Amino acid sequence: MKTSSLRYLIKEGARNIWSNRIMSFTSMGVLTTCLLLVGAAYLITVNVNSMVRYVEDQNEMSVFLAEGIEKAEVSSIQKQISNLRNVVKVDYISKEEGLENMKESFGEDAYLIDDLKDRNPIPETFVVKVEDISLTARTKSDLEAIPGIEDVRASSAVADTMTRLQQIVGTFGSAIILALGIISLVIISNTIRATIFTRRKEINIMKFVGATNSFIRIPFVVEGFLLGLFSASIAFLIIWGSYHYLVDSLKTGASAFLNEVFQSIIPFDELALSLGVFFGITGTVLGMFGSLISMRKHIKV
Amino acid sequence: MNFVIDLNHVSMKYDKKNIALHDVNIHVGAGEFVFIVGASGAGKSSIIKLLLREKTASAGIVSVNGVNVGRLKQRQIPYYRRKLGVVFQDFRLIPNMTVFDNVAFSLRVTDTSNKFIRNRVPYILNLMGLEHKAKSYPHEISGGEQQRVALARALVNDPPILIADEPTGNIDPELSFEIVELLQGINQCGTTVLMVTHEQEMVKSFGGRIITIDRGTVVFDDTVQPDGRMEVLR
Ligand SMILES: Nc1ncnc2c1ncn2[C@@H]1O[C@H](COP(=O)(O)OP(=O)(O)O)[C@@H](O)[C@H]1O
Ligand SMILES: [Mg+2]
Repeated sequence: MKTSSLRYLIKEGARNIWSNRIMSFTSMGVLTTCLLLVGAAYLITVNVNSMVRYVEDQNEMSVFLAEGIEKAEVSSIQKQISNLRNVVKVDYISKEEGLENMKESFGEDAYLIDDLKDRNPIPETFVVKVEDISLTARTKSDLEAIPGIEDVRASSAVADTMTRLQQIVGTFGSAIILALGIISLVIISNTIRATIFTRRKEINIMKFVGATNSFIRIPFVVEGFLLGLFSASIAFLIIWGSYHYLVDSLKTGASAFLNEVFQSIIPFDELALSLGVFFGITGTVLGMFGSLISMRKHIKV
Repeated sequence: MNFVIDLNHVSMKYDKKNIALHDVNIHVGAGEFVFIVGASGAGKSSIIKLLLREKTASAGIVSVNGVNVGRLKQRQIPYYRRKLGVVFQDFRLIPNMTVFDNVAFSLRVTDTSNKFIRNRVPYILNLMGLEHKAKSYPHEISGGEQQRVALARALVNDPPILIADEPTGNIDPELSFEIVELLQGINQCGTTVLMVTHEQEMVKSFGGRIITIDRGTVVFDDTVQPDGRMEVLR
C-alpha cells in the first residue's frame, strides 16, 4: 500500500470521529467512565493497603510500669512481654529518655518542662510492637495481666477500623470491579450496536466499489484507537485532579493521628506512570476492538 | 462470439420460499447497450446481485469478462468488483464525503496516487457536468446530480462494464431521459452498459436491445426500434 493511501486512511479515521460525533462522544463517555471506575478502584485499593501497612508498622502499644520498680524486675517484665505470642519487638524507654522525648516534642517550648528534671513524672515505658493488628485487644489484656504493669495504651480503635476497611476493600472491591466491568461491556456493546446501523450502509458502499476488507478496516481501527486515547487522557486528567483534591481535603480535616496515617497516602506522581500506561493500553485496545466488532458483521458482503 | 456478460441456465433463490430466478439465459456482447425491464419483484435486482457477487447462483454459471463469478474466492471479490461500474436507484453516496471524495474513493480503493486522483476526478466530474459541485455534500445537491455523481464514481476507474439498477427510479421523469442519454453516451465510448428499469414506456421510446424478465424468467429478448412494438418470446 502506498504511503499516500495509508495517510488517507488515517486521516479518514480521524475525520470519522467528527462525522459521527454523537456516537464518538457516547463511546468516549462510556470508555472514560469505565476507565475512571477501574482507576478509582485501583487507587483506593493501593492506598488502603498502604495505610494498613503504615498502621501496622506503627502498631505500637505503650506499656507503662508502676513507680519504683527494681532494675531486675524491669528486665523480667521485658522478658515476659517478649514471650507473649503477638509481640515482635519490645523497646525499653527509661524515665530520663522519656522526659528527653517529651522535651523534643515540645520543641521551642521545652523550657516549660525544664524544672521537671528533679521530679520526673514520666514512668518507665516499654514500646511494644505487635504482629497482627487484629489481635491488639487480646495482647493488651495479656499485657495488663503482667504484675508491675500499670497501664497499657493501644490505638486499637484505629487498628480495628483499618483492618475492617481492608477487608471491605478486599472483598467488595473485586466484586465491584467485576460488576462494573460487566456493566461497561454491556453498555459498550449496546453503543456499538447503535453505531452499526449508521455505518452499515457506508461499509456496503465501500465494498461495491471494490474496497478490500483491510482498506475498510484501517480507518475504523484508527478511529477506535484515537477515541481510546482521548478517553484515556480525559480519565487520567479527571483522576489526577480529583486525587489531589481528595487528598488535600482529607489531610486538612483530619485529627492528628489520622493525619499521620494519611501521610501514607501514595503521592500521585508515584502512581501516574502505571496508571497512565494502564489507561492508555486499556483505552486504545478497547477502542480498537469496539470499532472492529462494530463492523465485523457488515464487512462480509 | 465472446460474451462479456454470460448467464447460462441460472437459477437463484434467497430461501426455500423466495425463488428469484429460474433458468435464466442472458448473453451480452462487448460494447452492447441492454435494457432489462420487468415489473417490481420480477428478479431484475437479483440478476445484478449475481453479477456483483453479492449472491451466488443456486444453479447455472454466471460469467463476467470471462470470469466464473461463482467460483471467485472471498479475497478476489474486491478486485473483481473494480472492473464493474455500478449505480443504484438510491445513489449510494457516502453522506459525509464531498462529491469529489465520493468519486475519488473508488480510485483510492485501488491504491491510486494522489496526483492521478487530482487530475482524474475533475476530468470525470467535468464530463458529468458537475465541476462546480465538487465541494458539495450529497445532501446539498439534487437527485439528478447525485445520480451523476454516482455515475462519475462508477466510471472514474474506466470499467469495461457499467451496470445500472433503476438509475432513474428516484429522479424526475424529465431528468430520467437525461440520465439514459448519458448512459448511451458512455456506451458510445465503448463501455458495455446494462440498465435495469421497470419503466417499460421509457425503454420503448429509446428502443435497442430489450430483455424482459417476468417472475424470474426471461420472456423477451430482442432489438426493438424506438417506439417499436415488443413481442413476447415463445
Ligand atoms: N433479501 C431477500 N430475501 C428474500 N427474498 C427476496 C430478497 N430480495 C428479493 N427477494 C425476492 O426475490 C424476488 C425478486 O426480487 P428482485 O430481484 O429484488 O426484484 P426486482 O428488482 O425485479 O424488483 C421477489 O419475489 C422478492 O420478494
Ligand atoms: Mg429491484
